Amino acid sequence: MDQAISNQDMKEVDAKKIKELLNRRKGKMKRFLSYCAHCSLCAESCFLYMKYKKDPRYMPSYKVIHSLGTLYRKRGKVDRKCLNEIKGIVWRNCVLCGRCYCPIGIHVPSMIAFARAVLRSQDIHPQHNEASSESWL
Amino acid sequence: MKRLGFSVFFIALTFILMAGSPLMAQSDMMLLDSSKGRAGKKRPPVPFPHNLHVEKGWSCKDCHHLYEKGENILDESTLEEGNKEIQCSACHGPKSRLHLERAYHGQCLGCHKKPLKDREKAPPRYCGGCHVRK
Amino acid sequence: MVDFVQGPLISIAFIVFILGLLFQWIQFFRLTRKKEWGHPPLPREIKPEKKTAGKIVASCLTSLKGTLWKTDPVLTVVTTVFHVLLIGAPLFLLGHNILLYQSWGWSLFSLPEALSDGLTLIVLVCGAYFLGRRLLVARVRAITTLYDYVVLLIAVAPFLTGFFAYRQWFHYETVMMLHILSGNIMLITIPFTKLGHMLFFFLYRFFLGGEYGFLRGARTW
Repeated sequence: MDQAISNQDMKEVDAKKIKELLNRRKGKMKRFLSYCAHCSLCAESCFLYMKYKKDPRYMPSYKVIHSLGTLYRKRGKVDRKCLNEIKGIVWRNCVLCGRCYCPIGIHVPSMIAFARAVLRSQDIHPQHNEASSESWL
Repeated sequence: MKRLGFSVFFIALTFILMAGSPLMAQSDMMLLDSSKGRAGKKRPPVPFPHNLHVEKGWSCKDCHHLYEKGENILDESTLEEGNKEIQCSACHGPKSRLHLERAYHGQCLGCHKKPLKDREKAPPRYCGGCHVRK
Repeated sequence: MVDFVQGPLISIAFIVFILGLLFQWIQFFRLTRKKEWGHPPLPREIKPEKKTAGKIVASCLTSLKGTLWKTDPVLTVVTTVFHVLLIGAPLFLLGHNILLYQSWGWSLFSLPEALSDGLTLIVLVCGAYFLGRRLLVARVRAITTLYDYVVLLIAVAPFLTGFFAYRQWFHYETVMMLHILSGNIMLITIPFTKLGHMLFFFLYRFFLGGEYGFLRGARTW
């Protein structure tokens, strides 16, 4: 997909702001991330996973680990490229339908929503043609 | 004649010494059979090195006991090999307050579980250290 | 070193385990105190009808169909057996109870040793199943890292070393030291790694369901 480089893409990433946002929910989110047993039992509860021929990249745990997990792991020090990858995960590969089920009780939608909030703080918004029905995966 | 006499004397002395002193009147390695313990939870019999314990410097009454009103009134002259009354199982039977398994474990592990610091070699501390499988 | 491992380290491990879990428990409740209301509180549930034993059993069996039992029955059985034995097998082991009696003058009920041995073997088989799943199933492999293998090793090591110790394979004293060390490491790491799901499995799920029940529609996420 050919996209003109918008102003949005030229702005520098405000790592401090990301870190501040991440710290607000650090207790809950980090615990969610650490108690994830990596069991992959959330996979079959995701409509998109089932639709896209059980591609592991649509698993709720995969999405969370590679979006919010990356943000916490890098402590907010991410570049635009990384943020764009996260953008794809949280807006194209997830519709926040809330159907995801975790045997341990980790609430995945809130983590995806939080990741979206972090991206929005960096002026990253989903474009109208980036609906999840046209996933680039 | 004198030389023969001396040789005979030395040979005889050697034999007498090899026969052992009164302290080592019983056989060294005793096999403590656990079959009189609780049924269904059997481990192999324990090869118990009696002399090793004697050499460590403990007296007979440190282990062998007959308690009455808190005092160990055991008569040491009864401590002879083959005397069935001094066997642990003679008192610590199925009907006693402290049955055989707990009596042995309490007696042995009471010392064995103490910290190692003043010992060169660790005594057996866990099940397999004493109940050795072939 | 040996004195430390079989003496103070055991006490330290239990203290860290209990205090760690307590800390995580308190943190959990602190972090979920704030509630978000998207709508007024739902009315309290009308008093439910009294269920007979037969009805309760029937409802349990039916609801089982809607769970993981339907999607992956093998994993459901393996994980249930593994988790029950993970706690049950060491608690009712004769060797542990003898040591407990030596230290504190009381002990729990002990299973026959042959049975305990069999249960340990079952735990090891379940551990092997989890390892196989991590290596062979694509969707699990996708999110697996070295951390997962290490944690699996931490969980299984006490049982493996215990299995060797019971049979007196290899050098007994060394195997016993490794057994105690691995058990202590497992206790210490439970509150701070994903093994914490031991406690949080119940807490988190309770709160998720509470959204429909006692929390009356409030979210704490």
